[in-house]
Amino acid sequence: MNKQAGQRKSGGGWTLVEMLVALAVGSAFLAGVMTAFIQILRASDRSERMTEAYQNARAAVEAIAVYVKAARIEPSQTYQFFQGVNVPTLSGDRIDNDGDGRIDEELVNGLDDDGDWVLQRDDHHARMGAAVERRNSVGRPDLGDGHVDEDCAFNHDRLSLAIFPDPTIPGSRDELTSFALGLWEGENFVLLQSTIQDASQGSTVPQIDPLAFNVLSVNFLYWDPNRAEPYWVTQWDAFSGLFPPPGIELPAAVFIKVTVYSGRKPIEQVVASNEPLETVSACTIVDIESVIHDPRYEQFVRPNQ
Amino acid sequence: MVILTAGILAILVYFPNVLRANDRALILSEAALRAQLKAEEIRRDDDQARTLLTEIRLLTVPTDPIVFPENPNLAYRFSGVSLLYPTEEPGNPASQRGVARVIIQYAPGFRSDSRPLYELRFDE
Repeated sequence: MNKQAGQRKSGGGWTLVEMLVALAVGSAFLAGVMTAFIQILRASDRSERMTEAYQNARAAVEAIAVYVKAARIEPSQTYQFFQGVNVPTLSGDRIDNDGDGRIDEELVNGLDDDGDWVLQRDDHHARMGAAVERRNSVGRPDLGDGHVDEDCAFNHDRLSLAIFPDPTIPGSRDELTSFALGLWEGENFVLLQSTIQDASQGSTVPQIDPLAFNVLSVNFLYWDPNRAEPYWVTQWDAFSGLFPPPGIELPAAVFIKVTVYSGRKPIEQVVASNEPLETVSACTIVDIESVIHDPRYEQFVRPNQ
Repeated sequence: MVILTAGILAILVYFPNVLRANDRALILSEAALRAQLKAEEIRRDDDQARTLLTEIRLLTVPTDPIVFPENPNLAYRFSGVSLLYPTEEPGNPASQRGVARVIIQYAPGFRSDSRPLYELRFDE
């Protein structure tokens, strides 16, 4: 009898209430899993976009660095060619990156444009025994300190330079090259490199190659060794006659910064709207070896301490 | 139900690993560029006697980490010894002592992990 009752109970199925409870529990579990899954997918998508954008920016910075490093002062030439044009724009990523209530209020120039640099908090210099890095700018704001160039508008700078063939190196490069934002096969926001090979032999036909896509900003700063205290300037023209002897015609170093869009929506759509822009930036500093090893640089900028 | 849960758990475990790998690739790329930046600064600013380079070579303990203002997640240190290879190994130049290095690590305020992410030797 008991066995029969047990069989009826096990074969009798679930009640409506049991079904509803099971359904509710199952739905809650699945909803939680779906929410977590969607968030993970979004984070993964954003991470992949950022990584790809950063690799683009880094590749562009490194490609430019190779050329800048090879720029040379050629004593046999009557002129040197190194021209940096500063082209600031009015807006940046439309985000208040430093939380001061203003948006994109600074320019990339190595100065504290918005007046929020504080000596005790922001003056960062590593100390090595008796020496200190960036010794010329201890106690004043400079590139490398906190709250300097932290919320900047974009730039569309252009850099053109000559790599004169080195007579001591057979087969060394002889090129005129320039880097600037432009249009490539109908696509805007492309960082382009334009190169004329064998420029000193009279060649004038440039080869144009894209270095990076979705580029919103390109910044160049030039380390001027001719100033009483060398510092960054935003433009340079070696051909301008501003460097009478013993002036050094090329900057000693160039700061390169490339900012690439990393958002999901098409770049044209976001730029045309007023939405904040998701970006990543890659930057570095490149010494121009011919200047660093120039006896004038040794004499003017590197006195023995 | 068990199979479904196992599948979901596998996915939930897999994706964070992918995210971590992406983040690490990104941060290593940036660390390499920033190490180059610091090395070039030292070369540019050094004097004729190469005082800066010499002082870095002599460091047996790395300088205190300084956070990069443009990326508060990363910090740099200068050192004459390797943190990746604390013991000098014959035939391994990366472990050589008395060579100027810039070391990139996570900023102390970002992660407590103070192991080096990237070491660049920039001795002349």
